[in-house]
Amino acid sequence: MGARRIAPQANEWIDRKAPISFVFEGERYDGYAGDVVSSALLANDRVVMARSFKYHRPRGVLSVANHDANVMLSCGERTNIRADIEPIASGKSYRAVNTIGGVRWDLAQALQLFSKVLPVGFYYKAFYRPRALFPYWESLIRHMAGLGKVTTDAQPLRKLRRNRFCDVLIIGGGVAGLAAAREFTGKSVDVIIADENRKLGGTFDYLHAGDTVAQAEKSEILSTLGAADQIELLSGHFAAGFYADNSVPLVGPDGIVHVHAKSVIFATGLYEQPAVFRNNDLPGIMLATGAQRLVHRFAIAPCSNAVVLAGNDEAYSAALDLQAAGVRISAIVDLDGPDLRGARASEALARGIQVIPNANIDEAIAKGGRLQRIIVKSKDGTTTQSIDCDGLMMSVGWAPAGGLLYQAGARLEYDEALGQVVPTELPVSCFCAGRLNGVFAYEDQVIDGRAAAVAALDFLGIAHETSPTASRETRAHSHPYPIANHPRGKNFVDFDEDLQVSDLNIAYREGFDSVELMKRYSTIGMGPSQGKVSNMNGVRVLADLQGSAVQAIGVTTPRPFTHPVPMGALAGRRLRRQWWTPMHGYHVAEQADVQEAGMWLRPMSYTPGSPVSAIEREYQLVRNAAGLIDVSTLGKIELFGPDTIALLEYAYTCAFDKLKQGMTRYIFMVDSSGTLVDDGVAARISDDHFYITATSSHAQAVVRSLQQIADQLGFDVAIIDRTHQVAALNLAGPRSREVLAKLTKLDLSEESFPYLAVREARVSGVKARLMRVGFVGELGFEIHFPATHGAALWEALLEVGREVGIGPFGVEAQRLLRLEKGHLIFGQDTDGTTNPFEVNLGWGVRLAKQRFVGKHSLTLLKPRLARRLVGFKTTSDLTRQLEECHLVINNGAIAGRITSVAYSPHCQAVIGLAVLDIGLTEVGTKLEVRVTNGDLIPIEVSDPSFYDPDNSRQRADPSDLAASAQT
Amino acid sequence: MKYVDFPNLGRRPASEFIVAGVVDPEPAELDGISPGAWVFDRQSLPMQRLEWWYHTPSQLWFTVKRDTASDEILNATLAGEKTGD
Repeated sequence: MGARRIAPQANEWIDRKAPISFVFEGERYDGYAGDVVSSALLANDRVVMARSFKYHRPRGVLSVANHDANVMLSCGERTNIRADIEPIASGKSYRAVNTIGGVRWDLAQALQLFSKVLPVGFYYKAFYRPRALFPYWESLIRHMAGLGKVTTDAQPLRKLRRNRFCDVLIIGGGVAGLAAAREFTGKSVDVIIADENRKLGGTFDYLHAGDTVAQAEKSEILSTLGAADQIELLSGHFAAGFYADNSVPLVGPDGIVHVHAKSVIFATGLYEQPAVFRNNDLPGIMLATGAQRLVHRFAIAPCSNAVVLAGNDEAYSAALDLQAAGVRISAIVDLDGPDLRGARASEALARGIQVIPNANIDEAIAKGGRLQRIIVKSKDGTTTQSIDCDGLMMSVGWAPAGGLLYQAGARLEYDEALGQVVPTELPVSCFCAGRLNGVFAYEDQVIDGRAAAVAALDFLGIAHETSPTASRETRAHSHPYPIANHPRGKNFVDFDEDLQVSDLNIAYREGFDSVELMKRYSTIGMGPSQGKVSNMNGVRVLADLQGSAVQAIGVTTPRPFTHPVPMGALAGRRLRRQWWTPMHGYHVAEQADVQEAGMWLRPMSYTPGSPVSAIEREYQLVRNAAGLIDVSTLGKIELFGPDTIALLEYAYTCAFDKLKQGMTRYIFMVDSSGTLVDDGVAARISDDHFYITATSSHAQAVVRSLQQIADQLGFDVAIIDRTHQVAALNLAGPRSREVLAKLTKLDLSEESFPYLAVREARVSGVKARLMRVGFVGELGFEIHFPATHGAALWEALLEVGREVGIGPFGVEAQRLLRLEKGHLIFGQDTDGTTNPFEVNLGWGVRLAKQRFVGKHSLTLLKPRLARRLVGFKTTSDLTRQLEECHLVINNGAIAGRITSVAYSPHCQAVIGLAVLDIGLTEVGTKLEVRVTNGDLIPIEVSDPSFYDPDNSRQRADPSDLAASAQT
Repeated sequence: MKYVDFPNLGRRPASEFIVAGVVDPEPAELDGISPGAWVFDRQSLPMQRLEWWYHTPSQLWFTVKRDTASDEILNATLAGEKTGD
């Protein structure tokens, strides 16, 4: 008969009117809507469902909940799906992960023959030397011992993420959680109750399934809660972690609900723990609660003939439960005696169930991959007997589902009497109820739930009726040592990692004798189920090895997440702030290739995809006629007040005393370690009025640090961030003066508006500030004006410039133009370690100033120059392969890296900037660059001023240019 | 989300703040401390200390006295104002 579907159960989750068929390992199976993969397979007596991680041993269900990772599947793009919680869907095809040739024939199972020579730490020891062979072993091991394979071309699936603020979050919808929730009805308290299961109810559904009083109360609570507007029921959501200020992400099928709660009630319950004996992992051996979940949720009898291994009262309830479901109970093997076990034990005995007291299972024996019989050995070792069975239910103890509690900062300790870890200290806004709290009897759990709710109301300052309190059980529900040694091992402590008792023994003997060390060396609790069904036994084994009490061992810290969270849920919906310049509409209308640059959107070029030809066309405009670029993204800061110069002198490296009214200069700042952080232009508008620019992505940080300095040193300066009030554009090219002259009365001649000067004037009727700057190496005017006129002035300039052939140019052309001039871009040619001397900016550092940020570091760094930014050229045929960050090689050793590279139309060669070790920076030095495919390409160090080295073009009158062109 | 009970501003999300640590203005003379030590050495023992906090929405700097062991803010002063401490 084996595993099979049984008659309808009172609270079953399946819909018998909706049959569904699906495929597992290439074979078709039938189930009902509401089945999970493992219940549907058991309905068809398919017991062997997976292979283990290390030895490829056959495995079946264990907890039938999200507590173990015995059965993990792949389905299309998804992998590591847990069969115990995956609802079957019509036509879906599942495969077990980590097999060679499928679950039935997995070729790698031969590995277990070698398990004697594959002890814990094997990989650390075996593949350490020779080092050269490690890549070979690594690839072999990765192939053999992986879990599911990730499909790298899978479609990204981003899930919504919402924030939810509430007064009380109840985690766990079992007896205590529901009783707590009921207490809040009729009160003006915003409550969420969340449970990882598809339906609320928790142990109501299996431990209390036969209790008519409990079932009536459950229905009453659920209908009360359903009618309460202020209580949100979130089934199918697990609490993934606990973060500061009661912030708990609940992960559900539609993404993450990020809950921010004023108080939290933990009613997370317990994880049932397996017993440890030889072959305790055989398919057919499961947790008693696993079997009860199968019976009551899915109407599945997991076997025909069961043995129950008893270490607590619950074992007898489970045996009676299974018997009622039509399973023959061959025997109950009790680790102690039934006289300790309460009323249900008497009932079992009265029904004639055979109980073998003071005995343990010595060994489980399989046939065809599944359990066939067990060998029972008496406690004193004198008698053994064999019992045929196709199912073994373990009911020996519990561990708290307490990961969230630890993360919340609670203290938990092992209670000797209870044989269980229980909370002893809680943060002020956190409360605990139910079995997690050591309260077991049904009525007591209801009272404990109410008491937790009342305590939460107290904390929130809301009036309430008083509630009785429940006390902790004083009798153990967990056996102190449900672990049996066996000379031939295979007594698994951790099913995820195939760890045997002997592995922990070895770890201990080799000196990994504390719980944290043992975890890391043996990997216990580090598999996909994160120790939920292994850590407690691991602690018991370690206590035994140390000869100390369990409470002295401690536990490893359970970190988030409690269950794996899909990447798509973590990523959430993409929601990022974007800044548009006033000219954005034009860029979009012209189909520019608009890309993100920090928060800004900027046109890379005015052709979609920014092909090289488009960049070169825009480049030629600027070199030969006139081009227009939107630089509204620049940071723009206005500074007024008597201490303005003092502030600038302290914040920037250069001196400002020689900067005359009406002139600008290039400025940059470093941090206290002398590292370059930002650059820009400072314009002196009047004596104590400056206007400065900052790089697009760093503008806010500059405003912030200027403000901080002013506050720290008590400077009298008004600092105004005008970045978003002011539009800016750069009109550049030999004919730019001609174009601009049509829109302004300002005298643009070299004499009255020289290079680096700043002027205020109306342009096309708009009040503007104009600066003669030369980033791209041509005659140019940077025009700053109110953002409201951005689009109008931009289009006016394009209109009047039409006859000289003006056009807009994007960031890509600007990068090429400035590269020919050897001008650096902060963040590209500099990084988080670059100082001014390394990038030839020593001229802008005035160490003689009394005091400025970075002075002490720069004083140290100046004589210790170790590398320097240089230009380079190459004429090799393969030069298009050169990219930024490629390494520069000198005689086989790394000598630096490329920071910028491009084909220069002016030089008719590939040019670039590179940071090189000092000593290799002489012009003419021949070096090589290793490109992506490993080839070496020759380069030659050159002056970084590739174009117009004496800057004649950015100062010149068009008439001068015409003259020089003729000569 | 972590919240900060900020004396002058009430309960605000921690993400609204940028904490610049214990930042002293760079002095003209280091008085015997090596520049490396001045730049890089930080005292991380639990203590009460003054820190610079920037509140992004209001664009204001505060000097904050904080207990680094309990992560408690003892008082906060708008930068530029005289401390009442």
